[in-house]
Amino acid sequence: MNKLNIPTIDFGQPPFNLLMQKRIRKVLLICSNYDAFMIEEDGRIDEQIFNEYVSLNLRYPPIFILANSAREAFKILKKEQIDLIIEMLNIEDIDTFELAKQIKAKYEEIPIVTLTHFSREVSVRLQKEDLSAIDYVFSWLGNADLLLAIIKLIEDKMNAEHDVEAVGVQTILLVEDSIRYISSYLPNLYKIILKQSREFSEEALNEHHRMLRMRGRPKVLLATSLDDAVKLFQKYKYNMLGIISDVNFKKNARSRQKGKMGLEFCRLVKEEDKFMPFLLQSSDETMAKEAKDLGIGFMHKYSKSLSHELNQYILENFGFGDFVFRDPDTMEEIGRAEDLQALQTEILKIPEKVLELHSGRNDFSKWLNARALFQVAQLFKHVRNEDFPSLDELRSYLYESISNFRIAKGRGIIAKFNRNKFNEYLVFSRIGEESSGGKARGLAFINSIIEKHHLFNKYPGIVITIPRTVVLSTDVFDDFMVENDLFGVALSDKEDVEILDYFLRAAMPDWVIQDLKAFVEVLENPVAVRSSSKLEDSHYQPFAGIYSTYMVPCDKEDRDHMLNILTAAIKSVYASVYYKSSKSYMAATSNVIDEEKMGIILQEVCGSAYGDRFYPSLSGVARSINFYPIEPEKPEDGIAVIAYGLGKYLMEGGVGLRFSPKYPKKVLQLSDPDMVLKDTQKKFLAVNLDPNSFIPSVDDGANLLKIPFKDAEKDASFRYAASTYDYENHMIRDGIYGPGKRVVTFSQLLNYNAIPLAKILSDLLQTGQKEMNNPIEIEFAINLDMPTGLPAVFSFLQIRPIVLNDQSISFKLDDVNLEDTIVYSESALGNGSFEDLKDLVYVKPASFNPANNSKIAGLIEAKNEEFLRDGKNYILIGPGRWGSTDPWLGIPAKWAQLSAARVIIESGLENYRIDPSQGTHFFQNITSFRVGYFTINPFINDGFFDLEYLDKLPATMENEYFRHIRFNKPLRVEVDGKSNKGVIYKDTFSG
Amino acid sequence: MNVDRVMVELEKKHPGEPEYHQAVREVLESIEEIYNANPHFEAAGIIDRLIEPDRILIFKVPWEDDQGNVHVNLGYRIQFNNIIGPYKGGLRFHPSVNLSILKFLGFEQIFKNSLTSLPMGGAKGGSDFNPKGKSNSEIMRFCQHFMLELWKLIGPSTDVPAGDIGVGTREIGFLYGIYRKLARENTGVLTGKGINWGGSLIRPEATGFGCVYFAKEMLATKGETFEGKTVAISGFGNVAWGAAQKVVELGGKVVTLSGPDGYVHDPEGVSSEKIEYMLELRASNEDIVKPYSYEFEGTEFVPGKHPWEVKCDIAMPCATENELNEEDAKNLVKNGCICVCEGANMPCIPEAIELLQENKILYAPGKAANAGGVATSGLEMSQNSMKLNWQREEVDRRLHEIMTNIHVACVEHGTEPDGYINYVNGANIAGFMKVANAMLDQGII
Repeated sequence: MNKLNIPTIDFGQPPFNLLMQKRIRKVLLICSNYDAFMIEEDGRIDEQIFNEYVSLNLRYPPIFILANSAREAFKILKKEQIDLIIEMLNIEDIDTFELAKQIKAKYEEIPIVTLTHFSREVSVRLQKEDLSAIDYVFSWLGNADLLLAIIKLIEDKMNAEHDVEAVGVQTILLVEDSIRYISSYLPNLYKIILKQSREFSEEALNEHHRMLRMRGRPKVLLATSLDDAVKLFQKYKYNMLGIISDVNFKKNARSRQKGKMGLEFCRLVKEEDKFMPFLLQSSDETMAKEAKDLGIGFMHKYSKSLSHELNQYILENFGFGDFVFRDPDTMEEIGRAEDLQALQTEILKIPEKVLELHSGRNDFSKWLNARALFQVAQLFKHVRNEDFPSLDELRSYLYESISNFRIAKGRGIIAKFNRNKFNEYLVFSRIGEESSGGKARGLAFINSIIEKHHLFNKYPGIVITIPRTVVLSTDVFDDFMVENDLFGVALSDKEDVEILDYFLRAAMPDWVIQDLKAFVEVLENPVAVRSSSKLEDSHYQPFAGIYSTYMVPCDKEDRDHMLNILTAAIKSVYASVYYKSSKSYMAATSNVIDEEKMGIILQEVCGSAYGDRFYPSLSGVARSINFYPIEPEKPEDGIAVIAYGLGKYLMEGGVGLRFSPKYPKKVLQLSDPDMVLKDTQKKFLAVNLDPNSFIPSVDDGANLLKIPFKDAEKDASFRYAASTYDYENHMIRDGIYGPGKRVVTFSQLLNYNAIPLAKILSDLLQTGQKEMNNPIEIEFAINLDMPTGLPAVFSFLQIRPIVLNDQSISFKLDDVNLEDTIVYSESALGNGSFEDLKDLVYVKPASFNPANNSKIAGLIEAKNEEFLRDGKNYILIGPGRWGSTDPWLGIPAKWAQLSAARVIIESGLENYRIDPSQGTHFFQNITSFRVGYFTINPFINDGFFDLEYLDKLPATMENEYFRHIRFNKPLRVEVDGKSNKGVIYKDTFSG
Repeated sequence: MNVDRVMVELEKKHPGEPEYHQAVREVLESIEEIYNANPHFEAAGIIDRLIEPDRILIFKVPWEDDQGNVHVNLGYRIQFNNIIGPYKGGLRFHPSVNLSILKFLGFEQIFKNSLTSLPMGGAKGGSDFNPKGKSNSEIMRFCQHFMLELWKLIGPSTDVPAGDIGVGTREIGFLYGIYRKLARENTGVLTGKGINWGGSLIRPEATGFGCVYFAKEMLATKGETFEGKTVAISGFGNVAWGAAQKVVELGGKVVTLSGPDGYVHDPEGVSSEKIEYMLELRASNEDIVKPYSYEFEGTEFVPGKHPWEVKCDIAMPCATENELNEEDAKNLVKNGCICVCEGANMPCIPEAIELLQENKILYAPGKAANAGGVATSGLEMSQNSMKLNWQREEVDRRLHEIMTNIHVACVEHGTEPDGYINYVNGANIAGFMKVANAMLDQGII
């Protein structure tokens, strides 16, 4: 029994220093500056990697070296020792797959990972591409933690064999072949592992041991086919915590068809080790039954609470989380231990049969292994119940061993960093430690652009800055959700109001309250409480405007009240993640709501107070690419829309003033007095400064004031925006002198350069686009009403890349063979491809006659109503101009009469050439509904229209004036927004 | 005259001008009967002479945009007929402008102007320049270059252009400024000028006022007045606004206004502050009339319908084309309406007109009843020639006089054997007869 003499057991240092020997030090990142920025500057992902590396006691966390072209990439590869290459989107000069091949040919040993967009087109393309040069393909969802997961996964693969053999590091086997799924799943899995590892490493150890133990965290092994999975299982089965497996995948890479290999694999595993935890995942819910029959766990892939469930399963089954004591007869839980100390105490208390059960099943060893307590784990692994004369002796052996281990290792406490040092000079700071979300990342990026390009005081009379900002990172959200146990309510189908109510009643984590208190103390102006979610903005998906944004007035008299309403606003934003509209948006964009992590931006509102209201002199949105340019604008000239007051007015679809920063004096809406009167802003939004006006509500605009423009005449900002309509002379006069209706023209800024607005926007769009290697959209607000001597303030609020629908599909519209097309236009507005248009309605050119045209408009309207009723869209081709009121120019249809048309074609007539429609309302609708709008004049060789082809096809419906053709499959319609070319092909989508 | 034969000749001579052809055909058909009843017209070749313009000037207008790019547009002036006064007609700046469209507009202008009883001939002009989305400086440069060519051709007694689509007070200002400099005289050669530099008062109200004056004369033929009458007006724009003011002034009660969204029924009558509120409505970009019903108690908003179902004595469609259909006409007849007077262009569909005429209801087409706008242009010329600026009252009085004259002319040419006045025929024939007779008088020239 000598070996059981506890004090003699030597809990010496396991060879942790031998672990994780191979690692990734230099990563070549081939991508745009913006993507790179998210890693280098924002610091959240960088910090995670850094933390991870510091805890591994490595001197050099990976360095990301950026290249934004193929040429640059090769230059770097020549000079540097690169361990991993990650190709991201937006490489300027070469196709991603081609580049990978070229690199692999020269640098065979360097792993290459490609990040792609997730879309149907990409999947189709992936199937066709030769992927031999690429080690992994992931889909980029804008979540930077994927990068961490990739690095970990590759490191795990490099080190698995050694570390498992040398020290007994544990593994988790993941079998999955869906790129889209794995890309959102893998980061989650690593997060759970790392979080667990960090938690149990913190429980009782000092810094040094903590680091060592982190190295021993379980490794993730990825298999994509049955053969792979079996191989890995056989190799590591004695050091495997558990298996997570898909159902449908291939037997091996050569197999043509996928099969239910997951079930087969499970049976195979269970034969070898019936205790091996096995979690089956499938998008097919019927598999739940199969899993039950096999006695294993099951998760539905599209479960709204996927990552939550995963976390639970791993905690309970993979030895993570608490140790659960069970009654061997009923398998009911009878107690649990959250850490080693608790386990030690519990071991003394549990009934004999329970002790016998867990010891016999090696549960202690497994649990300890998962927590990298290898020494005790290894010790216990070889302990057999029958080695002891009585269970009591086993009990005391276990107890003493743990005790000894704990004494030997001692206890270290790490002080939590106290960031409660907010003062009024801090422009940008963060509460919490994890990701700050997409919007906040964008904001940090802006901050860096301002610094890098010396924008702050580049322009006379105005400074460019970001508003004072505090970010609550996503861990605040996590804590809030978990502490208040809100997931159940959140994921339920309850009404928005109810969800909000639950959230409002929940308590913010205390540490956050303390930080917010400091923030509230120094506030002078209202605060915008905005969402900054993981999926927003940086996601390459248009998530902007899905979640709520609250404007909270500043209560200087009662700071406690201010704190209350501020926290209420934060909770309201959190709640908005789970509103019906967000849930359905998530579903529509194939995102999983549970993946969503919400950061919060608290931002001082730009503006001045006027009595009980507060607002900026103007707000606006600008884009570096304009898919709906009006002569002489070009797509690359960009476009801006500005409005008086808060920008929410524009987000809600209010009418702003549209202009191209290149041509600020050419504003379509100001073309003539009637247009000015009709098509310019009439009301604006302001924050209600009454502190009692803020009542949390599902409507985030409830405490905003909607004020008629004319009521602002006494406010100092007014004169920059207003011109006067001279009624008697039917003229718009600049300035606000003399009687007449005031109209919003911003003439002082656009025509007379009171501030160089157009120049600033032009510069920012250009700079931003260059930094992002991608067309961008920015939001801004300007306060011109400053005390004498102080410059005006341009608040740069947001930057985000613009999604070009099918950026990765190359439109080779130069090579269009006219014979293959129904319509070809070189003056097409819009962008992307339209995929579900089976219906085409065309007006017979011969029926064009000013006398008939009004009647045709009515008939088209009736047809349009049919489409609306059936929920279908169509292509509409007609002679002359649409949207004109003049029957001499075309069919005088209003927008509502053809609202279901997604592609509209204006075709010039033999004796009459047309320019593109420019009726503003009509135009506004085309723009906001993203309609493809083609103008052709085939008679002068400007574009092409194969009328004969259409005439020969059978019509679904035909009358004197037009024909409706329904195709069996959707027509291929493509618009290249950069060159303004558009095509409707004769062939249809095959799928 | 055989209309078809004339048309064949015309189309052969001027191929590719469909708008022009159609306008000529419409006019010829409307006067065919009276023309053929007067064989001396045919003998003097009136039609052949009338359908060809006196002269056409087409010129290039090169101009530089703000970026220094050079553009070349075409400028036109069609001087159609100055038999009863200096050429008079608008300038249109619009990309659709071409010879055919301007000839069509110029041809119609002869008869419109003639009908006003003022000494104004017919003309039209313009350019395929698109003023939309241009900067002020570009507009100014274009106008100046346009006038550099045109100025030689026009003059206060020769040719007096006005505004039209794309040519408002701003453009008239730029055009007039350069003309004044080139001609070295300030004789008000364009109409539609700013009030401080030769423009006339009451321009915005003129069409609405004129329409009510015309209706007043129509009622007078039945021994009726506006006093105590219930009036349904559609629209809420300039014309409706002017009309409502004048109806109230004459003692009538306006009970409806309308927009694309429906109509408002105000049994108390639209008056004073409510009329002011119409200006607000007009400038709201919503283009809807519904807010009126929120603003004033006792009013009711009826969505999606025309106001012609409301019981009224007089109906004045002042909104848009085709806003009064057969069903509406039936309602009006049923409700005892006695007079329909068009403030807008072609608001009644042909079937509705027929029905009103069958029921012997007073009906005046827009071409007669809304001539107030054109008339004010004439009054601006008069004031310029006299070097005087009339007060509002004076302009208003003259406008009234003109509308009365138009009415007299319509009665003269439109009274049918049973005494019913067909204002459609009256207006068509009156406009034509004045020109034709003047041509006879002045010989073949």
